[in-house]
This record gives sequence, C-alpha cells and structure tokens, in this order.
Amino acid sequence: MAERTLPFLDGLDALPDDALAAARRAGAARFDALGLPGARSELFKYGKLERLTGVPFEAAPAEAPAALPGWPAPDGAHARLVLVNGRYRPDLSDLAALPAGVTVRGLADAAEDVGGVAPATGDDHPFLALNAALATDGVALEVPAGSGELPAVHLVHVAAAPGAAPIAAHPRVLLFVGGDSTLSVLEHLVGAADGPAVFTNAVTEAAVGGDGHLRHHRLLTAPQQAVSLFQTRASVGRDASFDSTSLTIDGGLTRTDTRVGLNAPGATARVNGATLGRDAAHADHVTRITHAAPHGTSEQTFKSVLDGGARAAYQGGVVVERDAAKTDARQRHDALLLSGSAEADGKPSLEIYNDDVACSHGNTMGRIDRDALFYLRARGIGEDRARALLVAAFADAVLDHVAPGGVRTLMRRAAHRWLDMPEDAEDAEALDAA
Amino acid sequence: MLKIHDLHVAVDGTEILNGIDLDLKAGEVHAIMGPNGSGKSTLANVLAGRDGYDVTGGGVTFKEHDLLGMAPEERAREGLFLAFQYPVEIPGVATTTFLKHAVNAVRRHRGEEEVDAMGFVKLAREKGRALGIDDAMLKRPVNAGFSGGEKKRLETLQMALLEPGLAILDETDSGLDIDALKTVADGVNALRTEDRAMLVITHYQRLLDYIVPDRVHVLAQGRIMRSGDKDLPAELERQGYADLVNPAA
Repeated sequence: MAERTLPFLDGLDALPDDALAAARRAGAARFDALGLPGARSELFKYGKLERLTGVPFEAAPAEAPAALPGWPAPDGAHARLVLVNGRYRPDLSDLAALPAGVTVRGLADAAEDVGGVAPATGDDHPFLALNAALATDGVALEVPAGSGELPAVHLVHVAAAPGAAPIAAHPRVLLFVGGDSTLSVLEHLVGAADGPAVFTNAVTEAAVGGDGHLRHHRLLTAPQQAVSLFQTRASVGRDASFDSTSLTIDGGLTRTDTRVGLNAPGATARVNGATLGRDAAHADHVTRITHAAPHGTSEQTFKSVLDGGARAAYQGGVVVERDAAKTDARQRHDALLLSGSAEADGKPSLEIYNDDVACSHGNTMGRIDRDALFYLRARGIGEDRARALLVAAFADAVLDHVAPGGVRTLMRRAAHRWLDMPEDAEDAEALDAA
Repeated sequence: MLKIHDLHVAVDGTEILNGIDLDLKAGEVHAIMGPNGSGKSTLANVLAGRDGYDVTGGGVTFKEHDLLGMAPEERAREGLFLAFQYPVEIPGVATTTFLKHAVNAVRRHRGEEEVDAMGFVKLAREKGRALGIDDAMLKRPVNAGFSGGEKKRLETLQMALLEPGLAILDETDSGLDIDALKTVADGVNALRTEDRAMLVITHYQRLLDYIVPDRVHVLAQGRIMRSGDKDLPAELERQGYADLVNPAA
C-alpha cells in the first residue's frame, strides 16, 4: 500500500472490519489523496506546516496527565464540558446548569447517528479528512427547538501530553441548535506551558435551525510548541444566525478554518477574530461563507496585533451563489504591527454569481498612532501602558461584538492579561455599566 | 515654577525658537501672543515633550528640575499640563478609562491612593457637571467625533482632574464660539490658585478678556519681542502684529 503522509494513520489498518472503521479508512484515504498541503496550496499559503511535519507526534494515549493545566472559567451560571486530548471527560464536566431536554453525549460511546465518530465530510479539506480518520471521541450537544436562551457552555479543550512524547489529538464537537433557541458556546483551548508539543486537529460541526442562534466563541491559548488546527463547518437555517468570535493568543501554529453555509433566506453569519501574537506565534484565519439563499447577511471582522517575529494571515472568502439575491457581505482585516519583524497578510476574496448584492472588503496594516501615544503620555500615562491602551482599543473592536456576559469578560481578561493590564477588563465592564 | 533660559529649538534643521527667556512664578498667569508661525505652538510642544523638536541651545527648569530631560509622562506627573490646540481623537478608548488611567498615574506618582472605577466615575461626573460634560460624553471614545467645543471642555476637565502645578493652554480659544469660550474660561478661572501657574498661548485678544493675565509676552520670529501687563493685548489689537514681525518696515 501507498506510504502514508503522517505516521499515525498506520493504526487504522489494524481496526476490525466494520462500518465505522471503513468510514475512518475512507477519511484516511481522502487525506492521503489530498496530501499535506504544500507551499503551493493557496489555502495554506501562509501556514507553516513544517511545525507539524517536523515533530514526531504520536496518537494521544487514553490516559490523561497526572496534573492537568488549569483554566479560568467565565463568571455567572454556565455548564462545563471538558475534553482532554480529544476525549470527553464527564467526570470533569458539569451539566447542572443546562435545562432538561438539552442533551450532551460523549461521541466514543454514542450510538446511531454520531456513533463512534467518522463522517466529517462535506468538503475536501485535508485536516477534515484527517479528523474523520482519527477522531475517536468528542462531544455532541443538542438543543431542542423552542429552548429559548440557554446558559453559556464552557467547552474546554485540554491539550497536554501525559508523558515526554509529543501527541496528536483529533477532537470532534457537534452542536445542534434547534429553532427559537439561543446557545452560547466558548471553545477554550488550554495547554501546558512546559509540556511536549500537542497537535490538536479539531473539527466542530454546527447546525442552526430556523430562528435559532448559535453564538460560538473560541479562546485559543496554547503554548508556543503547540500546533492547533480548528476547522468549523456550520449550516444556518431560515432567519437563523451563526455568530463566531475567536481570540487567538500567542501559541505556536494556530489555524482556524471556518466555513459557513447560509442555506435558507434571511440567514446571518458573523465570523470575527482577533489575534494577539508575540515571538514566533503564527495564526492563520481562513473563512469561507457561502450565501446560498436570498437575503443573507455576513460580516467578517478580523484584527491582528503582532509583536516580535509573530505572523498572522487572514484569508477571507465569500461566495454568493446564483439564488442569493439581496446578499449583504462584508469582510475586513486590520493589522497593527508593533515590531519591525512582525508580519501580517490579509486576503479577502469574493466570488459572486448574482448581481443584486452588496459586498465590501478591506484590509489595512498600521502601526501605533504617534499622536495618540503622545496625547496619552502627556496625561501622565507611561509609555508601555499608553501603548497597551491603544492596542486594547484596537483589539476590543472585535470583542465588542460579543454579547455582554461572562464569556466576553473572560475573553477580555485574557486579552488584557496579554497586554499586561489585567485589571482593565474588569474596569471596562464596570465603567461601561456605571 | 517655570524658568526658560535662552531656549533655541529647531525642526528639521530650521530654527523656530531663537532664544526665549521666561520666568513664570506660582500664582501667575502669563499670556503668550503672536502671529501664526511665530513659534507659539512649538514652545508649547517642546515644554510638553513632544518629539520632533531639537533643542539646540538653552534650557528649561520646572520646579527646579531639568524639564527637557524628562519623558512626557514624567512632566505630566510632576504637574505640567498641556491643553492641546488639537486634542487627539482616540477611537476605542473610552474617555472614562483614559481619564482613570491618567488620574491614577499622577496619584501614584504623588504617593496618593489610586481611585477605583466607581470612585472615579463619581469624581469625573462631579467635575464634569460644571463644564457641561455628561455621562454619555464620558462613555464615548476619547475626543472621537467630538465638536470643537466638546474637545476643549474635555481638555479643561482633564486639567481639573489632574490638578497640575503648571497649565499650558495652547490656542484653547481656537474653534470655539462665544458660549463655549465662556464655559471653558470659567473652568480655567476656577483653577486659578496661589500655587498654580498658567501659560496661555493665543493668537487673539478675545480669550484674554476672559482669562485675564498678569503678564503678556509677544512672540514673533522665535523671540519674545515685547512684554507688558494685561493692557498690552488691547494695544496689539489696535496696531496688529505687523510692526513686531517686520520691525524695520
């Protein structure tokens, strides 16, 4: 047989001959056929995948590390779902805040529709295929129609190797939001600062029913040795919305790849992200929003703040199909470069097959405004703090889109800690409420 | 309070100030008048520590310290305040957040206790009221989309909150209608005390009808050409600056 692109696919051949194994092998075959994206791949033009191929990752063992890294939790009532290296851990989770009717299932032992995991098909994306081949666990959360607004769900991805070897995990997350329900989820990646490298290749699949709303958030705070790939595939129904905000802080190679289908009239997508990167951090955000029905709205706002040798890229995509009249689609990326060696790339793109649409895109690169910096310093504010205030203002424009509440405060705190002014997140909320 | 000795300043190799001398004592208000291009704003910016200006000679002491060796934030913490001619718009930074950072930076420097968010909001509201600054304005981003009058009132509020020893008002009257000018002047006059000095920089006499100075200096061609008391502006208003700018003519 052909040589595999990544060594950890080998184990699949030994699996018993059942439907699940066949589906997983099909995923492996797709991945092998697609191959690891090379330098000529448009979608991976900016990503540094040698950080993935250069490390001998092993499949994550069943056992968790003796001591797990901690994580901050959002204020207020919320449910907690914990995955450790892709494995759902009911013992660490707390579902008490969720009303009856909402179901949470671990995927390893889930029967029927999502039994044991595998599909994650939909499009030919190599890391989707890799997840299909290798995901063995994860979590499915299902909100029945008519549930109203639910307490937030804090979904923690712990990425920490139990031994000395670098490991790979392939979590799968399924979110089903029925009509007339509003679910807010924070996918929160935490790692061990000093541990071996962890490769997280997660796939989140979401479906939002008519008049349903999914507020999806990501707070990615992996250590510098990590490779973290988060693929999202969302399908949005009539007058429903998928609202996604990611905050990427440092990390090694981090990549979000978000594709949203606005499949019924009046569907809305907002896909926003902020990157705060230092040193050798590299973050890629790739989006593709497909307007397949009339009267859809999509908005994308990405901000990159880069210091040291950090890099970030935004590759935005909007596709307006022939039937999607009255589409309103906006994309913008702004980068703030704090050092001479930081680098940002922005590449919004549009494919339009209908004339009756309003689409816009923009991309800017800038540095700290010297006049603003002087103004702040002339009021007694030290130079470092003055810079931090200006950077926070720049990045907050993304977090301002998040609905007020514990999740937003948690994300703000993380951003302000990066800026070395931790008390400011609380202040911002307090002053705003005063 | 402020002693300027034979100050020479150049911008991009061109000398703008050609030897300024000034002695401003606590409790005094001095005005600096002069035509456009005379170096008035250069003087204000150099005193506040803006970069882009080369001091080529002379010196400045502020409360007996060498002012020109201090960073802008150190000057502010020591009690020097520049009310900007063109206050800078800072989108995304809420005015209260900015003011609280500024007030606490100065308080820390003075060894005073910092104020918390709620305490600060109370303080800002109280001082803002006299200047017609309401809650909505305090929540907006710093100067962003503010009218000329709103910007100058916010400058005055900052002065009231920071309680500087020396306030430099750079063309504070520019862009103000008469009502806004009165509001701002009232705010400034309320801050005149025995231990505070003010340097009021203006092109027109109008402002000095409301903020009455103890001394008036006329700056032209980078030098103080004439000094006098509060009646000098009226004389200048009649004669114009022409004789001073072109003394030979």
